[in-house]
Amino acid sequence: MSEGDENSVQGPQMAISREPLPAPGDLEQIFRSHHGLVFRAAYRITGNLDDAEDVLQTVFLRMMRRGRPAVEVGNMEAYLRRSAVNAALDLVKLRRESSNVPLEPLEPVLADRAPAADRQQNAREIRQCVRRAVGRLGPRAGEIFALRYFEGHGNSEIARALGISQAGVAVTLHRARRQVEKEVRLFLGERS
Amino acid sequence: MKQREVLEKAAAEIRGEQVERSVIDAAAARVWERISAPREKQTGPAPIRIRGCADFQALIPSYLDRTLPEARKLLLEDHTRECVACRHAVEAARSGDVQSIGPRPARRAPMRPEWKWAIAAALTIGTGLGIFAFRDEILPVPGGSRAVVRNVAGFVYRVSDNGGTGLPAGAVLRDREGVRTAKGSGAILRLADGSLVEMRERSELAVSRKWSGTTIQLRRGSVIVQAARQRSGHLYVATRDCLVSVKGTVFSVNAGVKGSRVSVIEGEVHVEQGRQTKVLHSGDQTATSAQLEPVSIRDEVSWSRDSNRYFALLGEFSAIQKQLESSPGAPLRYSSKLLPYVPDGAVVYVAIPNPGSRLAEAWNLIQQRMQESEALRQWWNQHQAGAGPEEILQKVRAFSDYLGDEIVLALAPGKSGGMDAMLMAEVTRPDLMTYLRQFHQPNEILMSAENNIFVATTRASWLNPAPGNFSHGALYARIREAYGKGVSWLCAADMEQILAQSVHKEQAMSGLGIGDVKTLVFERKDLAGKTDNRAQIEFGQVRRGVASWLAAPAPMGALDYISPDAALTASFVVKSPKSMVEDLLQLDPQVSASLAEFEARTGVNVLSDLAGPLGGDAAIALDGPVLPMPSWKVVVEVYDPARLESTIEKLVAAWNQEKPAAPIHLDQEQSGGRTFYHIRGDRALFQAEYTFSDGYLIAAPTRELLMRALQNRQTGYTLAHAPGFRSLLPNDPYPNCSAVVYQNLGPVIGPIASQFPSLSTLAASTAPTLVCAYGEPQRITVAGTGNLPVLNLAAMGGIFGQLTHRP
Repeated sequence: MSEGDENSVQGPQMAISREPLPAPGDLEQIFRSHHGLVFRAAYRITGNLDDAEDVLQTVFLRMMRRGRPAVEVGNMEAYLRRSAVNAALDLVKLRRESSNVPLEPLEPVLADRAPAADRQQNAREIRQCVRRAVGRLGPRAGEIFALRYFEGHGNSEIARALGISQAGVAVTLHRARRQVEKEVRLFLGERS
Repeated sequence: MKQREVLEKAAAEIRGEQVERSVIDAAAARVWERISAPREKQTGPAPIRIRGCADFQALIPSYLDRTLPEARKLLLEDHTRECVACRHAVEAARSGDVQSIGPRPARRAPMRPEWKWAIAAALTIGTGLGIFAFRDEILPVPGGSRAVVRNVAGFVYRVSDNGGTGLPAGAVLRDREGVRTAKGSGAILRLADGSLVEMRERSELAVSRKWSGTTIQLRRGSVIVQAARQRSGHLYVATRDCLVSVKGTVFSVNAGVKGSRVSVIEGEVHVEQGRQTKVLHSGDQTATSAQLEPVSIRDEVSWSRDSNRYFALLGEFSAIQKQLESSPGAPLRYSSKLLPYVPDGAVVYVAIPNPGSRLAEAWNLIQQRMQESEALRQWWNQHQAGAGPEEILQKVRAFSDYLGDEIVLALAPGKSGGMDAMLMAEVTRPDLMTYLRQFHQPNEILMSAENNIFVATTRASWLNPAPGNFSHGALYARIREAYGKGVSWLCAADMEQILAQSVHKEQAMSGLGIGDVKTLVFERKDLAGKTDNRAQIEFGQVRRGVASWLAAPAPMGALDYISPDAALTASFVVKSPKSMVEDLLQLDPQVSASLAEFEARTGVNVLSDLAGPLGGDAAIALDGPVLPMPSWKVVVEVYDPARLESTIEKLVAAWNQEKPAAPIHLDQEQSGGRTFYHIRGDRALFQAEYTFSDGYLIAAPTRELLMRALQNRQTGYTLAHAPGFRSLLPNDPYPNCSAVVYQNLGPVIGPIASQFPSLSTLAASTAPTLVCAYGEPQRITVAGTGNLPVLNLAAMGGIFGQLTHRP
């Protein structure tokens, strides 16, 4: 998804106007308040700390260049979450040709309650497979899938954010899920 | 497992992945430094003219090192979206970068000296423990072969990247080397520890070994394992969706596309799937998927060359187990012939059913089956070395034959300090004393068998018991009340007498309300297959002081924020927190003085600003991943959130004023119409998030856990509604409880216990347990079902030992 798509995916009701370049203090305030949210949303999609940091930088650089979006304070979070998701999907698409499963020795995460190391690695590989599969979806489908499954948003919330109908969200989600399930099935079949 | 389930699970794990706050903050600091730096500082090498792909690719190293000027970076990124060659070049360069291990040099801000020392100290202290705990990951794997192919029927081959090569009997398998049986073929492998693994046709497995034990990775198919005794570590069988831990057994594992099915022929196995652990015994079976229907264990192992032996063993164990289960346990006793003979002044009364009949029944059954079953005889001879267990069983059983249905123990304060004991039982055979004379008797224990009552005691005057004044006391009345409802195991204590001799100060006892305790009674009985444990503390008057803190049973709204997956939960309703503080103030004058000083320093009135806004409903839980940081939750009822928040801010301000070198940061953020508060100590040593919702304050270490708690309540996915939790609730007339303590630590402790043997006993009891408390005006009752370590007789004995000890 190119940078311009961030505006183009929104319906006319949700068109975002731009204010002049934000004052340093204003941008810093937004950064300080929301950098955690952006980083975590990026990490969920990329699964990689370095990439998540890249996404964090990209999101705020874009805001710095293109102006602070005129959204309410309460909606800034939703806006930044979408920006992070889109930027992260861009990055995953960039890496999708790579067959390496990146080592994550610095990953400070244990998803399960200390299972055996083998099963932990297995679960980690499945998560990476899911991420790659999401990266291979189309821009809209990838965004909807990530907002639903990684960010935990409901269909109505996603429909409001994207300016489309709930039915549209449901259909896109259904197709995206089938595609991801298919990739997971192929992945598991190769490994058995 | 269905693909959808795999996807849902992976998505849930991705959602639940946590990154340490310090990592995020560090990344944010670096990003801000880069994007906020003045543009002149962002220039890198001298600009070059970009004419084609070669020029773009020349920028890649700087781009990956993050030293490329912003404008050039945007140009490169735009170009790689359209140019496949350059995109691949970036990817190739990045792949080498991704595989580097360790932090990027010169990226982080210089570390403060005190942090270095703290980290060095922590590493030094933790290294020894860490090496042991993570020896599997740190130390090189033990050397040697993993298995030897003992028998081959048909075609068996070694799995490798070059295809398969046939394996003859005697072939050696190395670590993680795969072996597969062809159609119509089978094999028996012998592991290094002596265990035997029989493989069915079309099965594939590999054996790996770590310091914690040996794992059979069953990739597909079916195996039967005869596990040898493990000298060190454990034996596991791992499929794609479960882990079977073995404790010297014979069992079968069948792994397929639909899931895995585990069947036990002999012994005990633990099957771990996700966060759940099941314990299976002989004749038990479990599957990891509902689509995988159960089959008889006979059918499950019918393909084995030893199937007849397994059938025979399985039949024997199953028959013995069923017969024991169907035979009624000792019936409840509604009266006691021994109670009137308890001596005057007794302060402790213990009554248990005569265990002899149950032991005799089990022993007779085993003996009878062994006569009829060669398989069972062979198994017994193999597992029971020496006559130890048999001899002990015989002695206990023989002695029990001379006694009646009940055995009573009474304790009374001795004249010279300590306690005098008296053991009583009805005599059913006249030659009891003749039988006992063949054993050595300690001098301090006196025995008699007069009037059909056997007595063993440390006090001579008790040898010929007669009804006395014990029947006039409060303890006797309480014991009679218990018998009226039927007892199995009973332990009762006259706390009034015991505490009267206590060395504790009367004032403190009065302030705590403990001085009013009259009796303490423990009971255990089996009702319709469910074990009911109950303890009751009776007070001489309406509860006061600390003893009055537990409120009457009431609905616990705090539990609605706890999920069914919680490992540990304590929820309680108490009387007004303000009253509780007032009780504390009355306990000790020093408390009042300290409180006054605290109020003067902070400007916070503890009674009205801190205790006043609070309600009496609260819960504390361990609800979520335990590592790397325990996922705790605290939920407290709050009547006045604004006042409480103002109090918290005052306390933080007061702290920061007193300790400017170690400030506490309190931030707030609006999100989704809700205010979230983030509190953290300096240098991120402590942090927590909290919010107010529907009359409760909910606190957790991270925003994600907080959101999950709120979702639990909204969706009704709560512990209180979980079937497993509800099935543990005791049978009684109370619709609510005053307090609840629930544990489901098995999934947490099980994996850790394999690393720390001292936890193995705790891990052995992996079933969830629940204890409920009920507060009445003059009584507190604590009840629970299942095997509760805190309500067993050994624990009771320990408690009484503590209370009755007089220096």
